[in-house]
Amino acid sequence: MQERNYDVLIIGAGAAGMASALEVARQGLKTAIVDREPFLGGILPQCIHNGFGVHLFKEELTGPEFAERFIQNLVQSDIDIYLNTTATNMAVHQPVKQVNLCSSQHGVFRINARAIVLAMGCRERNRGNLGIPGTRPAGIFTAGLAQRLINIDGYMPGKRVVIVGSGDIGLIMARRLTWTGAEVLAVVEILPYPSGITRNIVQCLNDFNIPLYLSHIVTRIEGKDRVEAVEITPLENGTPNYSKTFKVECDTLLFSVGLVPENELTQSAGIKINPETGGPLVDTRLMTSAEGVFACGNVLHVHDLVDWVSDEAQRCGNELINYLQGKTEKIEQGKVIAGANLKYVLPNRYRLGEKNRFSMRSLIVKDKATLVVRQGEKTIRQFTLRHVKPAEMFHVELKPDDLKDLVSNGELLPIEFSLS
Amino acid sequence: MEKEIICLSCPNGCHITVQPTGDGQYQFLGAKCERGEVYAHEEITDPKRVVTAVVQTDSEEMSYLPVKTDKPISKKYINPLLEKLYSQKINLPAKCGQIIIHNFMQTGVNVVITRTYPLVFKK
Repeated sequence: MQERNYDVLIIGAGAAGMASALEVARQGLKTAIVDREPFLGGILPQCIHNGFGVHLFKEELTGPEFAERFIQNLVQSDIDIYLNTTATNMAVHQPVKQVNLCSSQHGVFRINARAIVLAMGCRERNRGNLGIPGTRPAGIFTAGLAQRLINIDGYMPGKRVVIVGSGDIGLIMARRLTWTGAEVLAVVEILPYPSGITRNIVQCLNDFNIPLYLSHIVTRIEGKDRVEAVEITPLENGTPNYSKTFKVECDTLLFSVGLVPENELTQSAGIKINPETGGPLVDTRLMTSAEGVFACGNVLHVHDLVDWVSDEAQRCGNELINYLQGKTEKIEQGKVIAGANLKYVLPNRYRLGEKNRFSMRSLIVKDKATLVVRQGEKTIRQFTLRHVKPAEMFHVELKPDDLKDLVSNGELLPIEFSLS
Repeated sequence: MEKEIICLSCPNGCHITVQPTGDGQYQFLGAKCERGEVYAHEEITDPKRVVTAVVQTDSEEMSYLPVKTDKPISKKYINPLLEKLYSQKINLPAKCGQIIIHNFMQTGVNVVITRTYPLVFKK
């Protein structure tokens, strides 16, 4: 088998992969980036709507424009770009990591690298994840697949559409479908509040008088060859009230019901996964349980904004450089615990003597929430947050001064975050 | 007729009630700041949106490319604009930022391509 040697291999050329690759290559490290698609940018080229880059570039860009800023730097750099290339398996618990790859251009080949960045992104939950009863006709898509069909391939997935889930991708697709000539008949959301941001509710649903059914679920899919209708049932006190079930005739059903980090490659390499995020467990360096293997972006935990993906990926690139330069090979780290009302806190470790940035997700909806960081009974730091909800990730920073007197018997004590 | 508008100027998302005062003017209730009134006034008199779409190209290799209006356009021009976009073709090569429609129907709004194709690789 043909072998190629690099300092760093980046797996995935989406927002996370591109940003980390550029960061790493700036230090003159010999870098390769691989992606299974024939183009760079990951999901961004199909997200043709605007609203990207507000934090990172201080202007509103579309997905392709956001990607373009990284792509133009990438194609002009010394980074080796392998498109149409899939990583099939890897051996990572050794100083020189081996990744087996497959591509139309190079056949089956291997890349040896001193460090790896996992940046494979995430994938959509689908009908199977919800277990909706009924037949199995054509016309059932995830929202992202429908988005790709329309925006990249130029196909119309259907004419009369019902969307399940009010996440932002579903809302964006409601507008997109309407503007391409389809009729969106309903958006069905299981929760009592919309999952997407207000702006998308206004501009993607209200602008077109598309009804949003909150606290409703799809309870049956009908149709032999093609979807013909769906049954929608309201939830009352958490259970479906079938006496109020109604039918909507449609030919297409889209699912926008959440994303899952794509970690088959990670797991098969024996890297530990955090069950709360679905991504690898990482320390303060964003390094996984395999030394020299880093992770960033949606493969690590699903983000709401691409700006934070790029930000995390740049940080990941810098940590990787420090690691390869031997600066952080052995650092002391203390445990981080997600306490009351928090789904997770990432990374799962903290370190002394420098700024620590944490990303987390709330389990509750609340205005003026209080986030407390404790060591045992002692409060280390307290934050007031204007508004928290499960759909919006938030970040806090602990300064070196916050993390003092945390050593006992030569070990760093665990700290706990809790929200109320 | 009274109308409720959700302000999108900031994450507060004020629910603003707009009441016509009868002389062609409006009264705004519920906005926490002045930007809310400005927003609600535009939403009630001449709402605008950024429009994005894909346009066919002359190549089979990359059949469609994404475009956007370079600023928000009045809602009443959106359907005519989409019809024009769906009936036209982009000649490759295309560059991100390249204008394909100048000053659409004298609105002062241009339509620009948002993706470069083909890419020029250094190696």
